[in-house]
Amino acid sequence: MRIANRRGFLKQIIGSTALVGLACQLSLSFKDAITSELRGALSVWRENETTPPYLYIDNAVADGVNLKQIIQEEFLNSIVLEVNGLVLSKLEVAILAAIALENGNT
Amino acid sequence: MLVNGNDIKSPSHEDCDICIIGAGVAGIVLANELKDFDGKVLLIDGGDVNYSQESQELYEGESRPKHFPNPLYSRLRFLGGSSNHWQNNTSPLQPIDFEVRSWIPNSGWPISFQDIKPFYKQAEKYCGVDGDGYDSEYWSKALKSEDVLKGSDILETQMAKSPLFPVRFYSVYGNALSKQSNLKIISNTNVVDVTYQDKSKKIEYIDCVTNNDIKVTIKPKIFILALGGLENARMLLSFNEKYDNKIGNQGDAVGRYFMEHPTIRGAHFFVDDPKRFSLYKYKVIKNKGVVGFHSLTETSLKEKKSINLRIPFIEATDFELSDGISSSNIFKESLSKWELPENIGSHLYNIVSDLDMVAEGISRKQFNEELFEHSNDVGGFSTVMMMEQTPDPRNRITLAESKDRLGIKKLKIDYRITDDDKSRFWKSLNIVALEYGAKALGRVKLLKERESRLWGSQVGFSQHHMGTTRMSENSDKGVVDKNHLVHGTNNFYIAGSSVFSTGGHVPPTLTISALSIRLALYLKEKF
Repeated sequence: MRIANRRGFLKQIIGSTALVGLACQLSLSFKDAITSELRGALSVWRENETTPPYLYIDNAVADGVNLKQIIQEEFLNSIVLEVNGLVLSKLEVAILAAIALENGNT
Repeated sequence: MLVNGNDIKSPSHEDCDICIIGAGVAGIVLANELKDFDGKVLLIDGGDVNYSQESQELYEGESRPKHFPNPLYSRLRFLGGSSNHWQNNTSPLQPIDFEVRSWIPNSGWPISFQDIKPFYKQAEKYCGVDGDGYDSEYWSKALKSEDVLKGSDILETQMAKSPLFPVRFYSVYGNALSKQSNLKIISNTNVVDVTYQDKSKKIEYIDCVTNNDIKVTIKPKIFILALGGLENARMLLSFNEKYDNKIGNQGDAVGRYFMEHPTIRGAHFFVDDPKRFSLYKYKVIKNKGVVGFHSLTETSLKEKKSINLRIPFIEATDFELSDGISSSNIFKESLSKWELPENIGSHLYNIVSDLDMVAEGISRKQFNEELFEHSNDVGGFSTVMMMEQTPDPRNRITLAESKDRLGIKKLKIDYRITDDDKSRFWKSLNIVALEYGAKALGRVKLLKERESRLWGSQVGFSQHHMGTTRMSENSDKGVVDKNHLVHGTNNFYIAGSSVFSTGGHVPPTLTISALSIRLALYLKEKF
């Protein structure tokens, strides 16, 4: 049995695995692995910051400064946060957290 | 001349100028380098030309923790020693490895990198990797591969070289040695005791016994112990039982400061452009295997006060990078002990959000069948990092109560990776992660949530045994001086990785060879 993707897999096991029930309780959609990373980023942002992520983004990217350059400078100055162990610049986490909020995560 | 000790039928006596005990890497290099020495050299080994179980069993010891490999399996006891199964990776130590570093307790050698540097080139020949050195800039050009760390003050590319066919030292050099006019090799003959003269501070006699239980007594002018990183300490501890610790153990340093190179799977690398990383893929060129790896620069080590790592790169699929599988294993391990893992929420989260790869793992294990097509997509790089270990006197070799068939107490290994070293390991990896972001190379995932496994069942060992008769200025914190002479003695030397004051982050064989060449030159000039 070869399965092409995660969605196909879920179709096959929905209702037959206790873990799926657990997943529903945790409100995980399984649409994509990205979803959990976004939620992780939002959670990390809230643990570490009091300002909303979009405010941080607005302040950081003002005056048309190159986004890649800002991110590199944040790494250079150790302005980073860990999302599930992944070391990301604060701006990257803010962007992911903002997307998570836009996707309806609270 | 090669004499099989098992052919000696009655007790015998040998006089010699230099007696080397142990025909592993150090002993063989020493014997070969002494070919123009004006005197008689004896090279004694407890094993035969080929492996024998009877000889090997003399290496059996005890270890704590239990998963630390027993030398019965990690070392080899026949001519050529453990070079008969080494992996052949060579890299030199770095200048900083020899320096006193305030943040690394007990660091610093009584010699500098400059003292050993002239001998590395010749050592390369012994290891079958001669020519072209280890300069990353040279190899980057030769291999037409970009050095992605060029220009970085924080990280650097270092190179490893290995011969295409493993160099088993006795197989390669034994024939020449057996024809060496000033050398006599005696196999199947084991050192069991020494007679030490307190007045002259010399080893007067070496007592050996063949594997057929015939005594062989040797009267050497110079005695060199070259039995390897564990056995050197064991035998020296055994000799000292009779001599009130006067043979180099005045400071209770024999067997202490034992170091390994633990191998840790502590990070995943997700790079922006994998094609740029070809320098870190094993390649064959000029009859050698060459591969790059990441390390921290001297500047960053000094600035951040951390330890160095040897970070090779292994292409990894989504399946291999799966957090869910790792968390499942952590659950399984904990539940088998009727415990719940730390960070239970994170592990549950990993399993649930990575359920397809968990299912893939179950399918592969239980049904030997792959489930998801995308599970074999290359998702990044994994790594098995070799980690520098701080010399800690609590890590030590002692003598057990039980004895081997020759009546010598077996060795007991007491080993730990300290919390300070674990903390420095994560600090170094964090430095790597920051530089990856700053140089736009990619992102690094630190696998801290796997700690219970990383430092437990998943920790690997390199079988690099170092530091147990370390080099030091005096006997307070070491056993031999800068010329390998055992402190407080006048004719007793030790060779091999047991004399390393610190272990660095690269395999030791090249440095063992270089130090042995240096020792041979010193002896030829002095005597």
